[in-house]
Formats: sequence, structure tokens, C-alpha cells
Amino acid sequence: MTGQPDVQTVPPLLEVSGVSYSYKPSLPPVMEGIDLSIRSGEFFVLLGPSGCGKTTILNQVAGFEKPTTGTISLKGEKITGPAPDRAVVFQGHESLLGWLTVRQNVEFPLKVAGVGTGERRARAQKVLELVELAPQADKFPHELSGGMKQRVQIARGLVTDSRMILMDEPFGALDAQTRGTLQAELSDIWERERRTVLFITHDIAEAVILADRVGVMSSGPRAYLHSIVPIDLPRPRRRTAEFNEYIDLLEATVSAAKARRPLETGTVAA
Amino acid sequence: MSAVAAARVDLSGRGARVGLGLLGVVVVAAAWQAVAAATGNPLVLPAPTDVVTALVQLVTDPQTRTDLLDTVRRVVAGFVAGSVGGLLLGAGIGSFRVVRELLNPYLNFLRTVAPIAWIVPATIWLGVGEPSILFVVVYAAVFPVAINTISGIAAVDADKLRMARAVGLSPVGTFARILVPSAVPFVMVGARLGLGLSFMAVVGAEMIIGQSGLGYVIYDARTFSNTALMFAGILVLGVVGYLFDLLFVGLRSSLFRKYYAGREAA
Ligand SMILES: Nc1ncnc2c1ncn2[C@@H]1O[C@H](COP(=O)(O)OP(=O)(O)O)[C@@H](O)[C@H]1O
Ligand SMILES: [Mg+2]
Repeated sequence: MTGQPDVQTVPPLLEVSGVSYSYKPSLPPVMEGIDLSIRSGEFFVLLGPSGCGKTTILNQVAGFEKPTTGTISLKGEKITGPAPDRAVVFQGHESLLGWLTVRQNVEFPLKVAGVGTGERRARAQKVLELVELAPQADKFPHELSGGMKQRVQIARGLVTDSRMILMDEPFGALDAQTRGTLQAELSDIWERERRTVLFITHDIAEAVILADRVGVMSSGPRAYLHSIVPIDLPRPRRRTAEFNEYIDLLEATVSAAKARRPLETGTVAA
Repeated sequence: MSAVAAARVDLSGRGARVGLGLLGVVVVAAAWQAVAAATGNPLVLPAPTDVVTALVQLVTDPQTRTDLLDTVRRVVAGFVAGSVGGLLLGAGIGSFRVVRELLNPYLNFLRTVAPIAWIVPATIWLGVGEPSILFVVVYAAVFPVAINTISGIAAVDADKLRMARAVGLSPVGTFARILVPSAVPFVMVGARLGLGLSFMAVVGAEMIIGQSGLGYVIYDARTFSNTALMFAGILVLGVVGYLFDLLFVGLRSSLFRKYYAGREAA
């Protein structure tokens, strides 16, 4: 091996190929023909109107559901079920265990993996500090605000060395201000940790703030992946003119995707 | 306006609540005394004063204290065994769809049968004695706990189960660390009902085959036509049942507080 590995020859970490999914054989597929590659260390955002099947795709990547047709593989190996190499951050906070403290919730995946007490403590403490929850570590989830609960979930996702973190609209239920704070924090954490992220949202600005690349879905049923838009902006991302150009571009792409037609060149001054 | 508001605030205070409760007791006792005097037959309706005398006898007599302890011992043993059994049964049935569907009809049939109805077959299987009484008490506690545990497990949030799968938790681990803890509030509702039903069941069993216990005392009072003693026995039963309920609620909120996620236990 000489020099830098060519991006084109490095196999993607996650490969979705030809995936369709129907909840029932009698129903039209929610989405079909989804092809998607996510590179190692990439922050990939899947953007689409609500009901287009974003959660359905995430559930298949997580291994909770199997694709009706097509395959999803991680590092070349077909995904057949959930596994600790893909941490999941759920949209609501019901996945937190109410009878455990914040710290115990964060340590939970490590405990299941059989990590010893000392190392468990140390790793949980590190991620709690990363999400700025160390002072709340010994509280119970019901004693926290919605934003803090989502931070607990993010900390729980980061605490193992899982290859991927899957996030399903984790900030969807939060007020605008908290959402802004958490978006900035997440972008910051990602820069430091460089974990591969699949992040789902229907919020265009959120996609521009967070993504390396944005996959834009059409609306369902039979939703398809309309286009992939790279976001080439330095982090932390501020509302510059360039930022707003990306917003415009994505808005145009989202409308085109909704209408199931290609993006007309010239609609966006880019 | 303000006087009404002040009166309202007063009545909601702790002192006022206790005062009102006492007032209720005194009024009822006075009415009872009056009716008993008018009836003039202590065999039909003993006066409260007679009942208090019988009560003092009952509590000071070492023999009846043994009876009280026997009843309590049977309730505690039967309730604990029945609750543990109900928890395991309910958790087993609740966790496996096939088992649930298979056993649900039996469960729904058996739980509607009055526990005391089993006392006669129990004596055939277990003899006339302690094991048969315990059988009836266990029976009374098992079903409320089992049924509520099943509901608790059915109510577990889907995301918790998905999270468990995602972190690689085994089925046994999921059972112990997710299903059972999240069912705790439901289990407690069943256990509290089960405790009350255990007190009811034990009295019936003691009346029919017991050689001791409060049920036996009440039933035995019939031989001397001692209605005041019957009333005293019933009074003791009510008070003991009430105290056990308070004890249960107290233990529940100290031992199981964290399973309620800040909500008040019902
Ligand atoms: N369990 C289910 N059974 C049948 N249809 C479902 C189920 N879950 C979701 N759907 C349907 O599939 C479509 C996509 O849902 P979802 O993946 O949740 O969308 P999104 O996350 O993009 O909002 C929707 O039309 C929804 O009604
Ligand atoms: Mg969704």
C-alpha cells in the first residue's frame, strides 16, 4: 500500500442495496429501490417528509426489521438482526430505563457486554462529561428535561465503541432553543469522536447543521432516494450566506423529491 | 366568600381530617348504642360497650392472642408464597405469546372461582389442617398478582425492548432487567389486592376446618351465642387487615419507589 487509500476503493461501512419494504404483502412498499453507501466516520443525514419511511429504513439498518427485498450490510457482512455494533438513539425517551439512574442507564450497554465495574464507570463518566450531564449522573430520567433525556440516550449510544450510531429524529420533540444547543453539541461531539452516524430528520436546517451528506427521500408510498447532497461547510456551522445557499438548495431538492421529479438546474443559484 | 374559603382550607388540614374521622366514629357509635338499647336483645345486636368489653377480653386473653397470630401467620405465609407464585406465573405467561394464549382461558376461569370453594377438595388432597388452609390463601393471592403481572409485561414500551435487543441483551436478561422491573407497579397493584383477598380467604378456611385463628374464634362464638365476641373478632380482623394494608403501602413506597418514575403509586 502506498499513499492515501483511494476513497473509491475503500469499501463503505454501510451498504444498502436495492432495499424495498412492505409492512404487508397487500400494501404497496413504503419505499423501494433504496441504494445507499455510508462511509466510515461519515455523518449521514436522511431527510424526508414525515411518513416517507425514514424510521422504517432505520429499523432495518438497526436489524429490528428485515428488508422485503434487497440487502443491507455492515463492513461487507449482511445485517440479520440487531447487534451492539449499531447503537440506536430513539425518537422518544421511552427507551430509557426509569428505575436506573442516568449513570446506570449510560452504563447499561457496557454492563450487558460484560465490561468490568471500573472501566464501566470510567467510560460512562467520560461520555457523561461529553454530553454535559455529569452533574445529573445520579438523578433518575424522570427528573430531567426532554433535552437532557435525549443527551442521556446519546451518551448511551456513545459509551460503547459501536461502529455506527443510528439516530431517529432525536431532537424532533424539543423546543427550538434546546434543539439548537443539542445540534451544536452533537456536531462538536462528532468532530471529536468521528463515529459513523446515520441521522434521520425532516428538518432542513438540522440537516445542513449536521451532515457531511444529506440523502433526500421522496414522499411515500413507494418512496425512493431522490438525491444525495454533500454539505461542504466547516464546523461549527454558522448561518453564513453559504449556509443559507445550502438551505435553498435542499429546499428545492425536497420540493422536487416530493413531486417525484429531478431537480431542475437553474432553480437554485448555487 | 372569604369565610367559606377559610373553612375550606381548614377542612383540608390534617388536624381537621382526623377530627372529622373521629366525629364520624363517635356519631355512628352513639347511633349504634341507641339502636342496641331500643332492640334490647344483645344476641341480635350487642351494644358497642359490650363489644368493647369483649374486645378487651379478646386482646388480653393469651389464647385469642395465639388465634390472632395464627391468622396473621397463615396470611403472611400464603400471601408471600402466592405472590411469588403469581409473579413467576404471570411473568412466564406474559413473556411467551404461545404460553399466554394456551393458559389464558384457564387463568380467567380459575380466577373467578371463590378461593374458599376449594377448601373441600383441598382437604381431600392435603388433609384437614394447615396445608389446606394455606392452599386457599395461596389461591387467593396467586391470581391477582399473575393477572396484573401479565398486564404489566404487555404494557412494556416497545422501544425498551428494541433497546435491549440493540445492546445485545439475552432473552433471560431482558426478562429480568426490562420486563420484570417495568411491570413492578402492576405487580404491586395485584399484590395489594392479593393481600386483601388473603385476609378474606383465611377467615373462611378457618371457619370451616380451622382449630384456631380469628375465623375460628368468630365461628366458635356461635356455640355460646356470644354475639359481642363475634363483633369483637370482626373488628380485630378489620383493624389487622387495615394495618397490613398500611404496612404494605409503606413498604412499597420505600422499597419500590424507583420503579414508579416519580408517579404516585395507586
Ligand atoms: N407497523 C406498521 N404497520 C403498517 N404500516 C406502517 C407501520 N409503521 C409505519 N407504517 C407506515 O409506513 C410509512 C412510513 O412510516 P415511517 O417509516 O414511520 O415514516 P417516517 O419515519 O419517515 O415518518 C407510513 O405511511 C406509515 O404509516
Ligand atoms: Mg419516523
